[in-house]
Amino acid sequence: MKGDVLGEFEEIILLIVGVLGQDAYGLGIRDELEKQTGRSAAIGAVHATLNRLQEKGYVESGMKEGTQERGGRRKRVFQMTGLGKKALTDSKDVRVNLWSQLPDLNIGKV
Amino acid sequence: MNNSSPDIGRPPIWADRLLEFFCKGELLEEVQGDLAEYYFRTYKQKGRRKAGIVYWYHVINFLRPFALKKLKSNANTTTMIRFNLMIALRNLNRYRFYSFLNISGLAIGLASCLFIMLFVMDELSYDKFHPDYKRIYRVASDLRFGNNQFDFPVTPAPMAESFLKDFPEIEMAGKMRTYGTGLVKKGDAFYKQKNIFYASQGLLDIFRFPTVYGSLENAITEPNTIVLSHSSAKKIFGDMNPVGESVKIDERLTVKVSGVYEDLPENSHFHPELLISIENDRGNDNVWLGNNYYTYFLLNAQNDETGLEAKFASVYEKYFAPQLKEMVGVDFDEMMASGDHINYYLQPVADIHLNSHLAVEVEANGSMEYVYIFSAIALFILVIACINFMNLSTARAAMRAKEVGIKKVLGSVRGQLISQFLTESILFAFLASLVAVLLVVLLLPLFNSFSGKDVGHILLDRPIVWVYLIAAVFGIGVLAGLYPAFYLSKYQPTAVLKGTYQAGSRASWFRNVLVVFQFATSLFLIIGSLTVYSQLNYTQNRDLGFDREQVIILENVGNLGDKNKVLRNELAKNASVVNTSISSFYPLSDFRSDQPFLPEGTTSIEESVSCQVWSVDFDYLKTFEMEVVSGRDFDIQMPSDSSGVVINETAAKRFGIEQATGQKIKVLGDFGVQGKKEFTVLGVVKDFHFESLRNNVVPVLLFITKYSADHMAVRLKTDNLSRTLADLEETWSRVAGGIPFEYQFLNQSFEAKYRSESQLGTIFAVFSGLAIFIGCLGLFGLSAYTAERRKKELGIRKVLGAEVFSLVRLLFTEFSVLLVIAIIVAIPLAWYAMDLWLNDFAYRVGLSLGTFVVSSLIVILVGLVTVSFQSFKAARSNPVDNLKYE
Repeated sequence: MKGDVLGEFEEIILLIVGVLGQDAYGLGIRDELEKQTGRSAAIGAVHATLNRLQEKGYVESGMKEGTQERGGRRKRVFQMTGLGKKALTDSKDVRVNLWSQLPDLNIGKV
Repeated sequence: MNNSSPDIGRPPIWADRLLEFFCKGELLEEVQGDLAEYYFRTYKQKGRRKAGIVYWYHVINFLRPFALKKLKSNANTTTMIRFNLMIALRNLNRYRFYSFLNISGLAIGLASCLFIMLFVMDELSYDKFHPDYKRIYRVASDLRFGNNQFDFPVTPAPMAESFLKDFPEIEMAGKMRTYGTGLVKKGDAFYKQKNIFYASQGLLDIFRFPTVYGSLENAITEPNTIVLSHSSAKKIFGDMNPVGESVKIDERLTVKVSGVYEDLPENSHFHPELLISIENDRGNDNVWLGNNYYTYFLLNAQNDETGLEAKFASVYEKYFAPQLKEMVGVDFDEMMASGDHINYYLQPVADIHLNSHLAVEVEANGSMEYVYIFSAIALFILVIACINFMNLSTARAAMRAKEVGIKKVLGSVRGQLISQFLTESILFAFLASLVAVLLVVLLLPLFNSFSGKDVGHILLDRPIVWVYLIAAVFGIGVLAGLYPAFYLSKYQPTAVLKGTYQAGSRASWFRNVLVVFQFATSLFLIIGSLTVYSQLNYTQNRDLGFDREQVIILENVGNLGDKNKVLRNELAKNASVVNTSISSFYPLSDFRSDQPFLPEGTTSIEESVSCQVWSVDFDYLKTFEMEVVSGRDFDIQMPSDSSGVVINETAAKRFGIEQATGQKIKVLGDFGVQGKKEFTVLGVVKDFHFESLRNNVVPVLLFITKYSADHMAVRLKTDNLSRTLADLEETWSRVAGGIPFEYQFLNQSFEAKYRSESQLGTIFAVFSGLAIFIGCLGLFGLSAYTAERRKKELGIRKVLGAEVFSLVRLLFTEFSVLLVIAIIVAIPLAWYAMDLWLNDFAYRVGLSLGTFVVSSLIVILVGLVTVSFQSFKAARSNPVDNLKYE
């Protein structure tokens, strides 16, 4: 199943959830994404990814009181689970492993 | 800027509703919260419009599987709808050719309708953005003095203030007067500024333009103050806040900026760009005899205008009568008794654009007539597309008959079959609407360019468009599907399955009627566009009484002061310059001034003739190449010519002058022209046109003025226009020192005057082309069907020795009869309608037989070519292929 592999976008979102810690909610994550990577995503895309991560068990969520500019609406804050952290570590290990096998890192440098 | 206030509106309500409609309940709160937060952030950074668009974008982006509500699928109806949809999609796929014809025809029809709807909505939206538009009125006048009728939207100067005092119904009053175009000087730099008006503070108070810098409260109550539009401010001052800055207007008036307002939107009947305090224009404060001021009232209660209008007359008389007696020597009651009248009435501000067509309108207005015409065209096209749909569906009935039969045998009741067919047609209409929206988005720039509008924003600003579209999809789906649905579901299963059923024959008369209607409509539209074109052609090639080619009008000449003589002398040295004349009264200019004159030997007001008074110079007639039909042109060698006048033929007729032999005419009243009251008629000039050819030529008197004007007409004779223009510019900049060189071509201004007619022509042509195209799609489908149906008959005929040609003729005859009937129906209707339209023009073409013959030939030709594709294919096919299964 493809479902167990972390997609590139999923991985970044999951990392940002981890980085943000206490206050990781949809729009906040989108802002952080833009700040850190320069990528701008539709709010819907971020929500969809979070939804998928939750289905896979990589994040868990709860509701938190909203501020005035949200019209008093509550927001859903996400937190990384142990499984999520493991998925990230696995993904990183795969990469590190592959990098270490790359024969000559100086290709292309002058 | 007041960013701190949290109360900055709310996200677009329709986007929110859409979200609530499709989004899962458990997700809605967080999603809406995120979107709202983002909306307000964008709002602060980029403004309301942008924030709205971004909001919509993100809402649409939530249309993802994870966010959608789950449909409860165990209910009977949903199962049925899903099943119907499945069958419909299979049918669509199986008969791709018919599906394509159906959907593309309907899509083009819907796209045309959408475009016209956007156009009409834009026309109807004029001036509805003013906060109090329902209570704002403009005063217009309907005056009759002697034999002269005046209809214009201007009033005497003191009316605004006086009526405000006299009528408690009036809450606020404001007025403005045209200043025109001027040069604004800031430091050493000049800026050309259009749409300058003198305006009273009341005008700003009534309309409450949104403010950008400074304040519009008491902004122009002091003399030498101005307010200006944001784009003008940007042009002159750049991005700085210009409040408190001083500029000089036309080298004589130094003014201080007290406020900047947002540009008026496109859909406004006026676009003032710079307003000078009315305190700088106090000369007419007590004059009730002249009408030069646009007066606006804000009434206390809505829709109170008729009661108020009735009271205008008596109050008006109170001010007007004494001045009439004193200045003109005429008694008001006597004047009224002789049949004259004075009416001032109120126009709701939102009605001005479409329903006011008076002289000296602030800007050219639209026309309710065209709104109706375009709406009718849109409706026609949609009907044609729907007819295609019905025709193709019933024609295909033969192929579906067995399906229906089997379903009935298996226990379907009629209602279920009807709902199946309706589902199918609604699905088709829905797919067509998707294509239509795509077409509209793609073709929007094209439509904007030929309609001269910018209508795309309506799709975003007015979500009601989408509601209409969805309503149209269901309406068309049901209407177009209704007949086939009832027709098909009526089949007797036994007859159909036994094969004794005669497919399609009973419905064919109905189909024929529909085809006739389609082609009659197409023909009507073709005749319409040809007639509009020939009228347009006529107006553009008509002898106007002056030569408009190779004349350029230089602007800003008034700012040269005495240097204009130097400029003329310099220009005279240029071999390409034939003549020059300084006057702001050139044909096609918007300068107007009317005054009553008395022919020789008369004294009473009934005998007076109202004439346009044009101030010109000695070279005027020569420069415009106008023809003197009797008497002579002005002569610079004759000093006495300064009290002479050259009149046009219409004026001569009204004065009863046959030959110009030095007759005298006199000004009626105390106001002279150029300080004189009596003039000698030197010559009569052939009538020349200076307004739209919709109007008759009015009397015009030409006087020599010693004052300079803002425009100089230059008659050229050159083969190398760009070279000559460069020479002129070089001469100008040597003389004018910094004042910008600006000019217009007389023939281009002429074409601009006819823009509304040429737009009508284009729109007619485009949509009649579309109508006939859609009609042909239908005909193509029908002929394919006919050929299919008669396949075996043709096979047998061919086996028995019939030639291809005679077979084709056989198929042609059926359609030719329909086309001929369509022609017979359409021609009288088109004749009547076009005659009605042409009657609007004072100078019009006749309806030519040629137009009708050509249009009919086009329809016959296109129709037959369409049919022949299928006919030849059927006639040439090998009979064995068609007969071997029998």
